[in-house]
Amino acid sequence: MESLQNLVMGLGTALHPVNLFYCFIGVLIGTLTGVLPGIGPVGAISLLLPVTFHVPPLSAFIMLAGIMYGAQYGGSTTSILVNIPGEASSVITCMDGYAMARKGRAGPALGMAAFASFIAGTGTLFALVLVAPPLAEFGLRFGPPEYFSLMVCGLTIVVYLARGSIAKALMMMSFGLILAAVGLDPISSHPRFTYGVLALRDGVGLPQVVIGLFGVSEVLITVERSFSRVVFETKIKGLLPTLQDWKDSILPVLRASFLGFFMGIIPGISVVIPTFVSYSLEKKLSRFPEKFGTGVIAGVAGPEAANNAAASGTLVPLLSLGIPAGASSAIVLGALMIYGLNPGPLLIKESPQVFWGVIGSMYIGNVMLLLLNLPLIGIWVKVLKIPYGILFSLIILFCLIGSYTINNSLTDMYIMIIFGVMGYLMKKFDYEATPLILALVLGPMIENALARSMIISRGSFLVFFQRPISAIFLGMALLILLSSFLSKKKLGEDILNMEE
Amino acid sequence: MKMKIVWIILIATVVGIGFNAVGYAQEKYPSKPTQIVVPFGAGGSSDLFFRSLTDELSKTMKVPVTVVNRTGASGLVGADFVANSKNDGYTLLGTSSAPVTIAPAIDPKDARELDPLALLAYQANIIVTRSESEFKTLDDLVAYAKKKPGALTCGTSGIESEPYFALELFKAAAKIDLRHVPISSSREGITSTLGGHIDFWFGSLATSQSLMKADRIRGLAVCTERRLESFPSIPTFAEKHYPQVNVNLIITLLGPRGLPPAVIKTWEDVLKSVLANPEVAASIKRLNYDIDLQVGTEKLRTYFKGEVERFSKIAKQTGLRK
Amino acid sequence: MGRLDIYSSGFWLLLSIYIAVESYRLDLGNWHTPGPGYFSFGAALLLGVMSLSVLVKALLKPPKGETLAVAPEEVRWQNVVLVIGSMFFYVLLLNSVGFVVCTFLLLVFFLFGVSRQRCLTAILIASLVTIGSYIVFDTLLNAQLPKGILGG
Repeated sequence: MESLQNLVMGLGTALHPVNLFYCFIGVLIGTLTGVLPGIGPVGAISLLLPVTFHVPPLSAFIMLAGIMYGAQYGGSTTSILVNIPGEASSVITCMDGYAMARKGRAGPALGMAAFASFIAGTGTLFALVLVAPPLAEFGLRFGPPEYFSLMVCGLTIVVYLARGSIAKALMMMSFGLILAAVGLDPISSHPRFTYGVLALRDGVGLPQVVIGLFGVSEVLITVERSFSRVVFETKIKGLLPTLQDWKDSILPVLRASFLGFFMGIIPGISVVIPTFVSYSLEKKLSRFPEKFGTGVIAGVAGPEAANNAAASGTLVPLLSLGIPAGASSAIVLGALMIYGLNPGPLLIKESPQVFWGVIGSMYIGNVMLLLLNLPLIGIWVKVLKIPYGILFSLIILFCLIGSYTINNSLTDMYIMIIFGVMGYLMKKFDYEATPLILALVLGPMIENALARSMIISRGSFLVFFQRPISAIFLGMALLILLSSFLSKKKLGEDILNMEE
Repeated sequence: MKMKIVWIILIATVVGIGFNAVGYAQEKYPSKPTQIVVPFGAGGSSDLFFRSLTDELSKTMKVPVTVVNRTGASGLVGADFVANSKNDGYTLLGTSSAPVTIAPAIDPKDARELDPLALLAYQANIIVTRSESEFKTLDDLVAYAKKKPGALTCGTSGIESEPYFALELFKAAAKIDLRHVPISSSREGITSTLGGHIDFWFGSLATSQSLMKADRIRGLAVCTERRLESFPSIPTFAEKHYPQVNVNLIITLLGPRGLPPAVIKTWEDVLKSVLANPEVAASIKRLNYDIDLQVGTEKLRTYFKGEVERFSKIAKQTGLRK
Repeated sequence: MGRLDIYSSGFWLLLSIYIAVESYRLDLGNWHTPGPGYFSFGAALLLGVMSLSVLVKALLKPPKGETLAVAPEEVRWQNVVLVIGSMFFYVLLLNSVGFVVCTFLLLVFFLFGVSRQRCLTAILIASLVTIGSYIVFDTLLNAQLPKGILGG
């Protein structure tokens, strides 16, 4: 098939030593920025942008792609090691990843994250090659009402994931929605809850909230006890996933790859959403759902596969229609334009060697990531051996620096501290952070989608039910809600019986 | 032993401070590295514009000229930062005109003490629809809208953007009613247009041009004075008897109020030569901008004031004005 | 978790009322043209209803005497307060005093003051980490950290 021939040609271009070098640099820098909270791929890419001007376009693109992948993986590393998601898409990885690290299984967690990402990434790249154009058209059928229903579906999954009281999860979710409302109203640009602070006009900001709510609060909770307590199991049980781990993970990875890829195709969908959809799917399908959250490897393998698959999925609208998925792909798009490349439907026709070279380089990037990071696992695991009395100060410092580097703004640092305190209090009073974060991610999208749908339909709510795709998602949302109430009831009764 | 180390650290700190305290001798401008603050995200339109200039600027001015991003509040965070810096010419604001023309029109408190150095380039705003749509020309749009007021939807990237004001001017000039759908991300807006969820999109050329070349999107009219070189078949609003719809994306360089005349003169000359450089011009062209250098701080100040007044009127009419 | 729930849900209930009132004042709009306040109003409503349910449930259940997961003597509030307080001061002083000095002081405070390392160890580690992070973040990654009193 012609596509496969082209892919081979693309791989060939990507394998030139020069391009391999750029790929390596990209992946390295990407991993670094992913590990450091706050600075994300956007920051790294913008730093290297001037460098890329002096370099042939394909090589530049390869480097930028390497950064994106590297950052993705680096973010998972900190999620697992210190419960600080480097990227929003790594939030879910914290749940079981960090638990595994506490049990001394950081190595297998990191390893499986790498492998899952690799498998999902390369597998979906092939799918991309084969089915890109018709898929892109499908993505176009998503208008505001479809987005709204999809996001509502996402919110119901939040409820489903609640480990404790549903009421409390709903409370955190609604608070997250309220936080999402801080900033400018999408229609009239009226400032809401900004109290005159200029920096709040853009909202509270996800990274600073995440760093505070997850990272800082975790330190505070640990610091509460004496420092001689052992935080991380010192007997590190092996550096790589065991055969059992592989057995437990392979199906989740495959499922997540499908899921992530198809969800990624929907233009504008955040990479975060597939991660928690995968997590809840695995939890539902598992034989021991209650164990999720205590260190189940499927809870790491699934989401990690999902976010890489989704990243490939977002390439579909980018390469076929020139529509970028998010901030980092938007920058890449801009860079391509400077080189005179015209990302869009004509890219394949006008510069096929670029298009296929790009695909080939993404594959190489995946491989590079694996090769680079597997040996690093040994080093990362050693980091955990640093006595917590010293480690905690480093973590706090990096949280502070990270929150500053988001926007060079002190306000962000204050926000992080406030949410750090809040996260600490939430842990003490038994409220979960995940529904809050997910609502904060989904909130703006839901509000925008709802507002636009209302304008388009002139105030009629029927629009959500009259359009087939939207109706399907709303139906799914209802099913998920019912299912979570039913299973919670049963689980709740069991727990109550146990307590009394 | 402990005390020795403490002393060493103290002395090192003091020496460090000492070295830094030696100021740079007052020489002719520019003698220090210069920052151009871009109040929008890296990789964005205005950001890439200024980044394509920095190499040549550094060469010509013989000091490093770098782009620094300070995002937030639709450009106001960066504008704030520059307005509050020293007006020695080493911190400037490179931006699209929106933070200085639109923001003050909506809320006068958002006006900042800035002096324009130059207008550098512009990018056309254009109203488009999907190729499969029944509207082949602007006249089709107007005719249909007159028959069915409020039936058609047109999206822009929000009420704080130039295209929104262009849309309002168009609606007033043609006496038609279109429902405005704010879609803050222009790529979402184009996607919605492609999918037929909204009827039209009013935005800058860069967003739609690759899809226009591929015949997925059709341009109906442009806001510039003359037709576009890249798409000569699209008429201008002026040709269609709506000359007041001339709001385009303008790239401008500003500094804090009260810049020394030497600084202003230096930049006027440097910009003239840099923008004439063929490589720079080619980069800018590839970013879909047309170079149109205008200098003269007094003249520009008046121009900006006029724009703010024009937009304020619209803001008041549509109830935006806070 | 009875008593703790009463306090926390009470707090959330009050907060939800405040948000609902503020949202109402922002203008809820109507179905055709949603106003700025409707979204947070709806969310506040949900928050209020849920916190009410938790509050009621906690009030109705007879207090069984919570067993804290950790014996009270082992809990050191001071550490938490010290960490939060020092972070706060760090941010407060960052722009005026500068990154290098602030970081150094913070680390020394953490290592010596909070986790009780030896003074020499604390200073050594603090210096190394300060210099290291300056190099990585400012020089390599160009993060433009505040220069404060040491800068130009």
